[in-house]
Amino acid sequence: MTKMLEVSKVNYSYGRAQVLYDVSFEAAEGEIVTIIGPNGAGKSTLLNVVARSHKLRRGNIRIAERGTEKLSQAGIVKLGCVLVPEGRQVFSSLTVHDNLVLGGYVSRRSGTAKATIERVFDIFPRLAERSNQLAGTLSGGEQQMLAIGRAMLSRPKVMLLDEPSLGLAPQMTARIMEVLGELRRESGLTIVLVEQNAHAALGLADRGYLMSGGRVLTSGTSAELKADKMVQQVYLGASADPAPDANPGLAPEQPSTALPSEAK
Amino acid sequence: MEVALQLVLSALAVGAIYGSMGIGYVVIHRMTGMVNFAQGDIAVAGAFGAVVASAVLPPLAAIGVGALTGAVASVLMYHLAIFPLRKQGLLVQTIVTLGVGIVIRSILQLIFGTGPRQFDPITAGGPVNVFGASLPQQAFWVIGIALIAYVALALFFERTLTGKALSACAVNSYAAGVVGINLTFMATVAFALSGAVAGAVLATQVPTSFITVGAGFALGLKGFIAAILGGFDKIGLTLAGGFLIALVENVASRSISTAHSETILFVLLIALLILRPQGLTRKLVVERV
Repeated sequence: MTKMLEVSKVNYSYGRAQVLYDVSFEAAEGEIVTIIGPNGAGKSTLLNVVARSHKLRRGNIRIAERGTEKLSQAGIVKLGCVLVPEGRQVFSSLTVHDNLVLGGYVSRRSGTAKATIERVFDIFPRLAERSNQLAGTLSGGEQQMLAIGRAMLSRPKVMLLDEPSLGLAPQMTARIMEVLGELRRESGLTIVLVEQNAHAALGLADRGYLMSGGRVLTSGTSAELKADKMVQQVYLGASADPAPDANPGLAPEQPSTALPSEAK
Repeated sequence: MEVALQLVLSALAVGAIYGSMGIGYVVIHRMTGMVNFAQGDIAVAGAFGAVVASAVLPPLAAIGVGALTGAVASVLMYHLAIFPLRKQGLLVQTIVTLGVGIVIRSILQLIFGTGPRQFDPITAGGPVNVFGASLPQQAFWVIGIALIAYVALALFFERTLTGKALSACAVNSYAAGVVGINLTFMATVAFALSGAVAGAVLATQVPTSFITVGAGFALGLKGFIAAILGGFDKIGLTLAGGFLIALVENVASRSISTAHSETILFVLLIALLILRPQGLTRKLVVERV
């Protein structure tokens, strides 16, 4: 199977503070790969380096079997790799429709964009209802839908999602995960999912990587990671005594009492 | 009544220049968050471009060259003086624009000297009488070109993908990068539009009065006040702000003293900043993400 994303020995520093150390991972076509880890593990930085929001200084990144060393941020999107950033980052004072249109900025094919916007509205009918509403007035869950929809407009081969469940009610998180699964099934989209909600992420992903302190500690299939003692202790709540430097993110899933519309 | 109408009509023409100067500030500020204090001098460079072109081209074409000169000067400023300082913060970039303004003035002075320059109006003939008040024909061109520039810019921001992308950069530059919008290209577009509008409108005014190399600083400051009135955000309100400034100047000149009209204007600016920092807009734009 084609390797859609190959990240090898990537290092990154903020000034003198190194946050990524020789990080390597890969994702095949149509595969969902999750990267889990505590706060400060370097997960978001890693995605930003792949998407070139942060400059690649050391290491290699290949997308769709092409080297990306000389590509700009726009070049990465043109190549088919798009980031759904942490905190949604929608264009708050523009309408939902304009946000979606801008998602297709690099392709600039209005016919294709219209069809893709219709597809986004099929998947997220709430966005269709709020098409002319300012994005900043949407709920957190709706903004997350918009951020994913906006990313779809670039017709990506690889979608990088940074903490899509952050601040969302469990049912909304479940819906987002369901949509990601649908996108993979329908279009063979490769998905790299950075999450602290290890339960949700490992429930969806085929494989996963555990990061901590800027390094990949372990990797394997989702089943293997779920069975991994370290992952269980730190992320899945199997131990009452987690590692002292670890932030387990969300606790094991609680029964949901919130309706999707109550998502923050 | 005729006097009042005369004051208003004159203010419309001069206000169109201040307003278009202010629009230049707003377009750049919306995209980059910085304040370009070289705006007036860039407009003067555009006007001198038109003066040079008028030797071989008809006035309207010369004004087109003025717009192009303003755009080129503005883009050159961005790439030579602002872009290299992109990591130094907005304060440094804004201060540098003051220096760039002085450099532009000095270069223009070396080339053209300090004397006034003028070229022929677009349409020949005497002033137009409007209910007893009169206005030179060229003044209508100034107002018309400022309005055309405003409508074109409004349509550009509302209807085109590049215009929406420019707005997106202003709202959230990180997210704009994420969707593949090239921020450097967008800043170049903003500087080009800003220089072109200011250059074109000021060049259109040259046949009515004249232009000197030192005119840029005062024009730039009045454009800055117009931008404040527009909340550094709304180009329509900025144009209206330019008209208000010109009207205050005219009224002060007539009822108090021509010599003190600018002093009165700047006293009003200080009062405005204290009492209504959001200008004519409803809310203050505190921060751009």
